[in-house]
Amino acid sequence: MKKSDKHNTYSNIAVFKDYSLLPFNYSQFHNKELIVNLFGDYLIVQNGTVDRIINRTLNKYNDNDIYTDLISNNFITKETVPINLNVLATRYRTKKGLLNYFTGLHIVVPTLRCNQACIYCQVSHVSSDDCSYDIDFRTIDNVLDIIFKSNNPSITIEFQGGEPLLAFDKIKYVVGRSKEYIKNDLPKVTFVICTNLTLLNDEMLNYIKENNILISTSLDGPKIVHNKNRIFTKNYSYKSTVEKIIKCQKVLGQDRVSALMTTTGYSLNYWKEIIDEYISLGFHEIFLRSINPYGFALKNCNENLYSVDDFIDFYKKALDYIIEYNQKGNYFVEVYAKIILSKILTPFSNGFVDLQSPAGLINSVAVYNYNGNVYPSDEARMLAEMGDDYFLLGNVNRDNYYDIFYGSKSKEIANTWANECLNGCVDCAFQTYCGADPVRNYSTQKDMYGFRPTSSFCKKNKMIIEYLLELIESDKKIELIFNSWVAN
Amino acid sequence: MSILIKYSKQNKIVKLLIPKKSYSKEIIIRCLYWYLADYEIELKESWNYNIVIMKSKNDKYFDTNSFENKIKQDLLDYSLRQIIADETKNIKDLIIAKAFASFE
Repeated sequence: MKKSDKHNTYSNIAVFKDYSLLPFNYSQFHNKELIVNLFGDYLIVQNGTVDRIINRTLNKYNDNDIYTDLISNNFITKETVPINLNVLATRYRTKKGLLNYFTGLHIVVPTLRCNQACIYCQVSHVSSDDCSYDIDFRTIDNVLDIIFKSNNPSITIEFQGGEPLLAFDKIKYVVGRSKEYIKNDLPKVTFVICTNLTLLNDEMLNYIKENNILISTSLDGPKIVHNKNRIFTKNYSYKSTVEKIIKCQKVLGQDRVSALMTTTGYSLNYWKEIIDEYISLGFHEIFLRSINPYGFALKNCNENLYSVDDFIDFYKKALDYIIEYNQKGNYFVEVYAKIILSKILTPFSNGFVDLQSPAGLINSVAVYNYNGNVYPSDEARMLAEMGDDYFLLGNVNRDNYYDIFYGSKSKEIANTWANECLNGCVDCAFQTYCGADPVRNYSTQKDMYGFRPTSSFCKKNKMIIEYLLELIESDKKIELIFNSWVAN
Repeated sequence: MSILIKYSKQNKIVKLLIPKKSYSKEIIIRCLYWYLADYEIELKESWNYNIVIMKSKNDKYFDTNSFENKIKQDLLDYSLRQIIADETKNIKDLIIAKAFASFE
């Protein structure tokens, strides 16, 4: 073997210095190594490969397969500065597409009043008679002035509560006034009402249909689960909800009605029944959500408290069941898996605010409470309802747009909202697929920065991402199913 | 030079002498971050070594074989990660700068 400037020789192994590293993270993965680059490309390689890559003992003649994979998947490059640098920059920009525009999701709380007493309620609702917790018209005007200062060409105004239908007149006022801000069809405005549907009548339904409003409701599963979690008068929560779901689907269209479930301690044993319930009602997706540690969810610890391991066990069983259902020729999606899979299998970002870096707080979502207070996420509002206003950004009746969105509190949050800069996350192989959640960190660990070794957010996401990668690697047919999910 | 590991108090406290030439303090700190959930950790220095003293928060004894294998693997992993970070810092900055400059 000839000596040259390009490589040194010792023994029989040539050390090639003819490639440069591109940024990537790695971790041990089931007796192999998982490597993931800045753009979300991944490879699963033999143990010891990273060491060989770094120490340049990879032999491009004898290790041609892995060498070619590393080049083509942008882990190494033949040049000092890669000739496809512009492509890489574009890919990175695409991954951070959420930064193209500012806040798109605006959650408006027309009232804190509610007619249910869900055991995991994150909001700590008030009695349905207490109108002092309704938003007033002056506050709505100021909220709309703030919302439409966003440069996002696509705005979603989502009504949450309490139970928003208790203040339907306020919803109508928001929808009506919003039209004044639209010029030449921009911005595109979507309205969503998050409601338990119990108060929905024909007049409301007609209005919702005429104004193309989407409905999002809660369905925790079959009657035995739903009624246990969501307490309504005379135990009719499930019956009323299902009747109204069917009615809404008929009047508005199947794709205009969605449902969300929350996993309580009681739900853990009913993963099959919960999925079957969603299928029977014609839904094509389910979002298997773990309980959030806010509001009544914290107060009702006995019903709501379960470990991350318990939730992951539930999640894996449910996901396996869903995959099995898809393998029979059906189409049914688990939404959280789809969100993560879109980061693994596509070059794009997605709009899920709870798993972004920089975090979805402020960048993607803002919450306007009934009293005009503005928060960077719904979870931050829930903390406020529990007496902790730490994340208050400002008030629409007092502060202007720049004070609210670019003020000192926003800047403080910005210091901790990128997982690229957080201890534990900075070296994590799953960094590109994950996100940062300063509000969750503060709520569970009393510190926006967070402590990854004991973070339930970190543990849960790692376990789910790992499981999804295992599934992709285990069976090409499952990978095809996952690709069909992210393609839609 | 290799890592020296000494146990005391019925294997409830472990002292690691990590050669400075093998692993920098930064690598050790980043590695030990993940052990902070389960261990109380103290970090000291001598002329040639970084000294780590660890005690289980649950007052458990160390399973010496598995602990030694894990911590050595973890230190090696973090050492490799540091090399990647050092070698790719400039190209990473260039990619990110170019990514966001394009849309000005």
